[in-house]
Amino acid sequence: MTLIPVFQRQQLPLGQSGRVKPSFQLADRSGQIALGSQVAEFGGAMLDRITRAKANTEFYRFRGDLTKIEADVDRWITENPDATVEQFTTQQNNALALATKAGDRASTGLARDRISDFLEMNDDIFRQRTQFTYESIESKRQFNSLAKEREIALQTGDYPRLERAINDARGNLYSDEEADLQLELDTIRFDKLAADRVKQQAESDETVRGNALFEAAAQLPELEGRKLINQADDITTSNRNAQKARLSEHHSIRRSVNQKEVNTMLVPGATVESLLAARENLKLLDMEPDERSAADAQLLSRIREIDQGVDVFTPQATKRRMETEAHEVALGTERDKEDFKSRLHKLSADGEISGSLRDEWIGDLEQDYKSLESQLESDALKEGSVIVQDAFGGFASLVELKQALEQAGTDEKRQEAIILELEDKNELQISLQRRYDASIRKIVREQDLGPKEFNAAKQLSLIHYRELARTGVRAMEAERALFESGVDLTDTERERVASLMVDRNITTSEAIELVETTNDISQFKFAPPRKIGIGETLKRTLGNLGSGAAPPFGGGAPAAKPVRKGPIKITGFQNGAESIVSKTVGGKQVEGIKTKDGREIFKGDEFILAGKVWRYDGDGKATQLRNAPVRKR
Amino acid sequence: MDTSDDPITAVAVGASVFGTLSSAANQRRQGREAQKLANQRAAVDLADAEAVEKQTREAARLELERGRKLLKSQKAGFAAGNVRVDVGSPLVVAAQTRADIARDVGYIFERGTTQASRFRQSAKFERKYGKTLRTQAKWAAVSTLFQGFGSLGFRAKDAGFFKKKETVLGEGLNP
Repeated sequence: MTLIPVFQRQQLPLGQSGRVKPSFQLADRSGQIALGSQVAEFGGAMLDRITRAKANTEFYRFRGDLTKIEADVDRWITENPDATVEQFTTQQNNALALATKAGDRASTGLARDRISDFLEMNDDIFRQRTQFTYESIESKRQFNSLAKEREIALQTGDYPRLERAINDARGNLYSDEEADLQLELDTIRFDKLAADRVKQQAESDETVRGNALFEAAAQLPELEGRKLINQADDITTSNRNAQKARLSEHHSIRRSVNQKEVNTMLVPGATVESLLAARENLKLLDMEPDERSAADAQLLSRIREIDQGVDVFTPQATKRRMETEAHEVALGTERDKEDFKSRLHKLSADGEISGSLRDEWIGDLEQDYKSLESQLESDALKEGSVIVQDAFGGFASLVELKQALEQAGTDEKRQEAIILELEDKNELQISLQRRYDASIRKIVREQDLGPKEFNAAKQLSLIHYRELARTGVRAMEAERALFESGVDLTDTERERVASLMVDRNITTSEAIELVETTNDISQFKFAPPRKIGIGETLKRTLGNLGSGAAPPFGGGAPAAKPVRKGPIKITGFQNGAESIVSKTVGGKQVEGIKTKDGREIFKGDEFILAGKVWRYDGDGKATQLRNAPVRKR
Repeated sequence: MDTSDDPITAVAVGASVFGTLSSAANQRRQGREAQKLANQRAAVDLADAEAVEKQTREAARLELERGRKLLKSQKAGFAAGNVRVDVGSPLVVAAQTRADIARDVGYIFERGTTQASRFRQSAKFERKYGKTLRTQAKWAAVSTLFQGFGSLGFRAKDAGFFKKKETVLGEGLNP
């Protein structure tokens, strides 16, 4: 039998689905949840902050309102010192109601809670404080009333009233001890016042008697009046002396007034008619007989002089008149002075004044003139000095500047640059100052002007030098701007371009452009010197200064740097520091300096530095001689 | 200006409201998604249970088949040995073999049922856990809303949002 194999199944289906359980982490949204929480927290914090700020503002506004309310209560108390306790309590309650209302104005709950707590805590304090004010005002008022009452009692001499007032205050304003003490003090004062009253009464009687005596004596001639006072026996010696002094003063004043009246009658130019009328008027004056007869004699004498044809212009009157005129002349022109002198000569020649008097007056006039002239000169010099200093900014002295720079720790090179620039400025300022002073002195000494003419000349001079100073400063500033711009120019060229900038009123950049586009800098047309200087202007204006006289200010072209006077110490060369060298000339050692660019300069040699020609004097010093010639590019 | 009119304040309040709502909404969504995941996990368990049951049934069928073949083989052996198969020992041997086969099939079913039951139980727990997570998330969202809006409410009160507008009376000591 054939065995046919049959397939034996052994495999089974899978015992699991093959799917995986998803993790719960997949549903995790904690990030979003946390973000939401943070946003909510942030919003809350922001709101808290805003609320806190607003609440603080409102709380302090409330405190301000409260202070005002308290002040109002205090003012009310002060303004109503007679208020009763009930009125005061009503005011207190009103004030607290107002404070509550002020608190209700707060919009934030936080502020309202704070205010509510504050009011709760301070209610009693507020009441106590205002109560204290009220009581202090009240007791002050009571003290004032008591003081007035005491004063009335003291002044009227009413002792029972004084006693009553103090006893009423006992136990209230005063303790027993204080009341006793006050009464004791007031009693002492009461007694003293009573004594004073008696004394014053006696003095008053004495004064009344003295016044009556003086009034009676004043009605009598002076001698009789004094006799009357001396005979009085019901006044004290001091009162008698006082009344006699009053009487003397009274008569002295009367006599002085009368004398003035008589002098008015005797004025130069009085006619016989006016003098006769004056004699009649003498009777109306309060005069004693001998005074009246003396005055009358004066009037009669003048009438007689007129009758006899004698000039009433006495030398004294003429002198007074001429003296007045001399004062006016002294303020006038030179011509006025000369006119016045010739009039004096004429008066003297006519015999109206003596020769000695004439010379005396002329001497006085000349002296006045001279002192006035010197005063004017001094004023003019001061004014000029102020103007020139103002133009240069009134910088400190070089010594002060150096000290300041050293203290500030500025490096030496910079110090030197600043000092050199200021030296230039200083030099120009000094030069202008000297020129101005010289011109003023020249006006005074050579032109022989009167004060009016001098003032005119001085004004012109001031204008001229003010302009010179400004131009000088502008030129220096322009020069510095050019130097700082780094354009390659020689010192002289820089000076000329700076001058051009000032004259044409152009900026630094415009000037640099001009220099760079022009090949030959000498082609520049610089402003010509002024045709008319101040001297010429002055001459034309015043006309009478004398045609031959030289103009006092020496003409125009002011902006060029002046030549420095005297030696200067050489502190450095443009090309570097110098070293000392020497050579032998004719067996003699000559000292010199050597610059870094190889130039050797010996004593007596001329050299060019900073656009100037210098002579080397040895010992590192040199004297400036003149401006260096312009070098062509 | 009143605090409630202030634009910065409005921004702050807006941020607070938005943050609270956003946080709560995300908590709710997390709950819903967690439940969905739990249901998916339960579905996996159920699929596993079904697979086990299928495998068990097939294993039992194969075992029965093998038993039947063994019985036929025994019968053929007895017959070839000229032993009567319908009486005596051959019947005892056949009965013994049938009993062994039935016992083995029984064990196969028992093991499969146990495994499938475990998977079904796990699916049930997963679904229950998903439901719990969703409920938990819901209450967490409620709690967030309560806390956020409660806090905002207090802050708004502090800021004066709920204050009635008042007309300020004139100044003076006699109101």
